[in-house]
Amino acid sequence: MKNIKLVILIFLLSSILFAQEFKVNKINGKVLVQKGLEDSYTPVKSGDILNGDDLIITEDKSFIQLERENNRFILKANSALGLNHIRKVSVNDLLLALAMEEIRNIPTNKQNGIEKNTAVYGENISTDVDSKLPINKLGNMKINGAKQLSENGFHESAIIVSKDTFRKYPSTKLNFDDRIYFANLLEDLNLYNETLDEYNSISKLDLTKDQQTFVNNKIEKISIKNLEN
Amino acid sequence: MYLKNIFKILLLLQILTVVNYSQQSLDIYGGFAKLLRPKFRLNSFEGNAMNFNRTIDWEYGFSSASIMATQQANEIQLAFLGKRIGAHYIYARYTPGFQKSFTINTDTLVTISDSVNVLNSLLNYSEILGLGYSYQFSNNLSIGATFRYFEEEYSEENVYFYFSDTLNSIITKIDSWKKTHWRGDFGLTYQPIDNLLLSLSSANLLILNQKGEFEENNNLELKTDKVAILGIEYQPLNNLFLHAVYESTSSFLVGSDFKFDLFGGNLAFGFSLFHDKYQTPYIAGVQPSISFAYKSISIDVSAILYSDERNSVMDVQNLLTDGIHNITNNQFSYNKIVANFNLALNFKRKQKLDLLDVEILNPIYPILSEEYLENPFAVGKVVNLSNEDIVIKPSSYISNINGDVVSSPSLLIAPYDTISVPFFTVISREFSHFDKREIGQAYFYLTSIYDDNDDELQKPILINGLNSWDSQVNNLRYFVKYDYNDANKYSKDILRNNREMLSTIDERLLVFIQTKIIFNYFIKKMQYVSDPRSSTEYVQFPSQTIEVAGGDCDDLSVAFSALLESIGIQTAFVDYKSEEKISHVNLLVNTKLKPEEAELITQNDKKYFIRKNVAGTEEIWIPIELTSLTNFNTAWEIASSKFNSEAIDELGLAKKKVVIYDIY
Repeated sequence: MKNIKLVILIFLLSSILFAQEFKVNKINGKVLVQKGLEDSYTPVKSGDILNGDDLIITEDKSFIQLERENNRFILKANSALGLNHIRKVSVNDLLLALAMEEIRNIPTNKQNGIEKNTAVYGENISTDVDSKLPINKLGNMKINGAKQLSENGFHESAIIVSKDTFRKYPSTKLNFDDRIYFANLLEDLNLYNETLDEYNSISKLDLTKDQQTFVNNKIEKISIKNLEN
Repeated sequence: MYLKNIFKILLLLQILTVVNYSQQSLDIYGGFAKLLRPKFRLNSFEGNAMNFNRTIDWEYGFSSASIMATQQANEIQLAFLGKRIGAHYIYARYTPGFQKSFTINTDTLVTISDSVNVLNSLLNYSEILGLGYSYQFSNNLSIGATFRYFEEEYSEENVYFYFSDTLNSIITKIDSWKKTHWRGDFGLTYQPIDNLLLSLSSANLLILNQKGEFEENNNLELKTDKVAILGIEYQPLNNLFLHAVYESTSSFLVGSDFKFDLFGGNLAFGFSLFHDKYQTPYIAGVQPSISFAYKSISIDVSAILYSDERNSVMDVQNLLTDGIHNITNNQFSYNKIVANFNLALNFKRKQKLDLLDVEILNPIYPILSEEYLENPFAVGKVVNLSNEDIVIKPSSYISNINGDVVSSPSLLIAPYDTISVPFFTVISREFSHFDKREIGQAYFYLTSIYDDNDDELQKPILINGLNSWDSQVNNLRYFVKYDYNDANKYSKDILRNNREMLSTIDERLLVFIQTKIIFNYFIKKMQYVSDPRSSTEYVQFPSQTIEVAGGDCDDLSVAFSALLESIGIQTAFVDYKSEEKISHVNLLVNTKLKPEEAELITQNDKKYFIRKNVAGTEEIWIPIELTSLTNFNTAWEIASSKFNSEAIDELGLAKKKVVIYDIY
């Protein structure tokens, strides 16, 4: 019965494509929203209408229930999620998104590895940018948000969010369990090449012996699967 | 003195032959497919009445023959000189050995005093000289004509009686008759495919300027029956040639030859047999031949062996009934060996390469001078006409663009292969100041290394003005770099005015703050101005944009990029391609901040993008929209929104609808 409910939920949620607006049904605790490209965060109230380019943040012991066209999504505590990610992404689009990771880099044949020198003036004393919210936890909150996407059936979207988060918040890359979580998502989608890349990347972390053994075994198993395909 | 003057019909012919050959089209070169083989030297009108020739300049040759029966060798049978002038080929030959002489013993004895004299008649045919002309309409069709001058002479000793009152006498006196004429023939060769050649020619088609006759002995005159000659040569295998000739008199010749490569030349063995209507038996003779051709020299030795026995003394009846149709090959000809030597005097070097055509890939944009070092502006199609590997050196010269001929990389081309050859060019600044577009001339040269030009070709080429742009966003970088010094001075002046403020900032923010300061100073002076109406895109150089204080998205992006790049701040163009083909360009700027330092510039991670540099270090890049013409933060947000939406969310980067072009 529980599985049936999950399937129905996934089916319903999968119809939320490129959601434009979400209505806030319920709120518990402190939930903030970062609108569009604004730097600041504002509290969310029940009944508010949120846009697709908004970022929702739930603090400790908080959650928010969103609704769009009778479909509901709950974001649990200590999570952050861009609302535009609550959508079904095809495997093909996931592969394109993963490919963009390389495309956006500077081509290695363009610079010959020579960095230009820039004169440095002044001292390391201040910045004119205001720190309005503690964002040191934001990376981890985004990973939590990505996991909830996956739990609600948006596996592909969850992988995209995790990749973006690992890149923009480098400290999140160091969490072994999180890395394994999203690597397994790739494996579940039978994307063995991409899974291998992920495990190879994980193997370069500072791992314990057991973790290293686990990763090596995984790499071996997935390599075989990859060959069989 | 007695005279036994009896004009009996001649009973015996004593034939002394100087030289002779065969049936109308039997060639002194023997059994070879000579028209089909490019290296075969042709000096014959017998098998080549159409004066076909493949020589490319001068050609000289001579031949000598040895008559087996008489063990007589002639010094020079034939000497010729030929010259090609374009599609025309002119040929002249002198043929001192082309003659046939008969001494006819009348069996009439004249006894004067104690001596007995035999009355003889002399008959001589000779071909003195020949002229030929042919015109090559195309690689596979040639038409030509030949004209040959003949002399015939018949003389006989006669006995004359003189009676007078005091003395009766008998004397012998020679009476002679002489005849000359020109013979004109026409012919054509047609090569429908590489290994097949057909020819059609005539014999005695025109008899011109005929003078004299043999009167009552006209049956001894050289026969000039009109004959049509059809020839075919076929190369079924690379080394095997077959040939056949059929004459309208029902005479024919068939043969084959086989060639080998030897010492860098060609050794060929040939064998032919022929049937001549006027000779017996049915296969009148065979012609084994050997030839060696090396570069411009060829030596050929061929034998003509008749099937029946040829004696030096033969019955005259045959001569009286059939006559002589061909002075080089007839029923009285002997077995013989002919040696030929030919030399091609090619003062004009043989063309090894043929530049078939050149495709000019794009008009010239002078600003893209560096681009032409890496990418060809034209591609030629080149064929190797020789049988050896050739290293070719292509080069080109564009009027008003190049100061000198510009060499492109050398290439190796295999024998008879056809390849594409890229032409690169170098546009120096002194030749690139074009305000308007103009038509120039591009000259393309092909040189086989160490040699002179093998082939060349000229084509008009469109040369655009210096501000013209080929619409490739990637190439905007050349406008960025064009006047770095001016941009550098402009940026440094701005930064100098903000030195105090800059000295107090977090050093990690230096690039970001410099970018912000320069942007705010630059943009407040600008206004949006569309390109002038033109058939090509027009991009201003940074100094021009600053001077006129305006431009479109290309101009403003180029100018701001130059201001940053000139002081070492890395930028990249972002090309947003729309389906309506109206592109938009803005910039990405490398803040040099690490991802974990992002909070120094923003709390919103949608306003920056992480790019890994060539060293593998991840850095924060921010997008900037120049056409916003507002302050830095607004320009940043507008560009971020567009980049997020089109490049990231819609997967534009992966689908190549959004492309990042780094400036390097």
